[in-house]
Amino acid sequence: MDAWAGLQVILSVDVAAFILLGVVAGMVFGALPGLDATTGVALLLPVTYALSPIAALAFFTALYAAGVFSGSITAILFRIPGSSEAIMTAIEGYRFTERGEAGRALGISMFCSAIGGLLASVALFTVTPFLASLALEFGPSEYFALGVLGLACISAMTGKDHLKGLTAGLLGLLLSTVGIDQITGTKRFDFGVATLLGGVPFVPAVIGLFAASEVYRRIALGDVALVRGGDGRFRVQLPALGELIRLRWTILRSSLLGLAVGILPGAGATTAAILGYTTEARLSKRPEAFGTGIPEGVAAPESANNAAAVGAMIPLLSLGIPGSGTTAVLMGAFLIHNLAPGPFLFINNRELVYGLFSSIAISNVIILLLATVFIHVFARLALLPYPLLATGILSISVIGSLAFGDVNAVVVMLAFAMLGLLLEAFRYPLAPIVLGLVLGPIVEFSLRRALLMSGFDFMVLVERPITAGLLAIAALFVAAPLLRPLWRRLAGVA
Amino acid sequence: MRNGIRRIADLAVPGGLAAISAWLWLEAGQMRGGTGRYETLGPSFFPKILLAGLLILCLLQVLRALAGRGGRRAEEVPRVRWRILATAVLATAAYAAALSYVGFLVSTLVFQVVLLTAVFGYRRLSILAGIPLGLTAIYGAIFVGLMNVPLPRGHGPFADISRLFY
Repeated sequence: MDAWAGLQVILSVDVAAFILLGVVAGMVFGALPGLDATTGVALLLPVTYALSPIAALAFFTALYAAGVFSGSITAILFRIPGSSEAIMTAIEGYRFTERGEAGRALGISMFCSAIGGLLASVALFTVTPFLASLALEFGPSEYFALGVLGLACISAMTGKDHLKGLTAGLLGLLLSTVGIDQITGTKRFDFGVATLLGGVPFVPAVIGLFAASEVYRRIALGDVALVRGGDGRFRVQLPALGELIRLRWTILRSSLLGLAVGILPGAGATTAAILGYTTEARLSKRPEAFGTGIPEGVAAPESANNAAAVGAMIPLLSLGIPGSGTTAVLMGAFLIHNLAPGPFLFINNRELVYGLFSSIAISNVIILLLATVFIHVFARLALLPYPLLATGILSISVIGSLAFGDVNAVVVMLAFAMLGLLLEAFRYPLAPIVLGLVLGPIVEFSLRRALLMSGFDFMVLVERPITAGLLAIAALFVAAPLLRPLWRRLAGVA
Repeated sequence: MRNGIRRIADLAVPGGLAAISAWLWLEAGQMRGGTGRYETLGPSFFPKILLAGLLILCLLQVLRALAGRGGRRAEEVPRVRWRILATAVLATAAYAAALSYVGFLVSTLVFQVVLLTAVFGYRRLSILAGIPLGLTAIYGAIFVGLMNVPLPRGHGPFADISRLFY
């Protein structure tokens, strides 16, 4: 009855209109490098002051969901992740564009984002109480184990040269230590640069590493053909039913993983996208195909990140704890309208809470309907001569980095562009760097907190069942490539 | 000759990384934070583990390169247009440096003209005028007009020019 009442509120004309506006705003913010859903929510908070609470909150949740998806548009077309959640999509999806199959990648991204978001929306209604209680069991050791699990998947992204892949991963982890140490407050590797006190600014670093370095690489080699295959025309190719059925397990696994990660406070959709991608690579029978442009490589992160975006609402609504950076800013929307997210919201405003659940589900459907329009707008750009695109990409790399911080953020972007150029020239993979950057803080601070709280007792990592389970899975992921030939030999003998 | 260059190139990255790791190890040694158990698991704990791992991996790659394995074959090494690449990178750096002094409008226009001429070799006036003007207008409209993101106006006469538009 509460769900039905919530749905009726959402379907009123004024609220539905704001859901639509939220999707449009989220599409624009998410697609533009340097801006993302978090920026969109923060910038538009004051604008919604005069709206009703349900209209304002439905607007922001729609903006969040659409922003997470639309980052994949520029990620696939130009290798510029519009938002950090689309980083893995940039790595895989751009390969489709190079083959003239951008429309196919975008179609997969569209559908998998919507399905991931919808599946997670169902979970909002059905499993919120259970998942919220499970999230309470996650302490520092569990977060450490989750981070290690993510890092264990680096071996799935290293290609044939594991030494270079591990080097890139360690480099990413080392870069994540830059800034103020969260536990002692000591400055680390900042070299007197104020911008680095908060750590390496992630979005400018990623823009430099992937977008700007790619432009410089093409300039250096005189390679100005963006698309090497295809017939030069562009259209979004909705995935055939057969393809979706073939991808069903990837979508389901990644959506569930994304939902679980999204529920964990502080993990976020970026972590979910990376974990979704690396887990699928690890479980695949052809892990070496990841990174060459395969549907699973786009389906996994896109399902995971949208599911995580929805999942991040669960701790916010049930516990009053934001599950991600964007939901942290979203708390401001609640406070402006005199609402306190948490257990009492369920008791005092059940209709509002279930209305929000419904608006999230409806947003994902609207994303599916509107995505084609936005994709066509951006895709027209892919048909322009590459020098003109490159000029635009380099300009927006600088402006986007500047919008994120100050001129020092642009310097960071340039430095990472040079790093990406150098590493790719010598066949070092870039994806493990990003993995290390994102998971490094989770691994380091969780481990140190766990050991400090247990009095330096390392047994805490095996005595707690969730921790032990996650670490065992991580060990299996690392050992599997080594054990597989042995297993085949034994099976052959048998 | 190309094999010699290739061998040096294969040693350069791991060798350089190893040297940087050694230097950062010394930097990490100077980090102090907390007392007692907080110092044991202090700010240098995790970085030192990573730096040790990096050093080991780099040494392994150096040994592998010296043994003649794991690098690129001579015919795989592409020809690089160093001068054009340097022009593009320096132009971007100059653009970033000029933004605060000259402002977004003028610096973006000049940067794009430099890229189109010096890097990509365009000479047609319609492209050299139209593309920078169009792109700058679009970016300004989106970031300043729509998103209210403050972009630099510059100083002096450049600020006056910027204020005509935003």
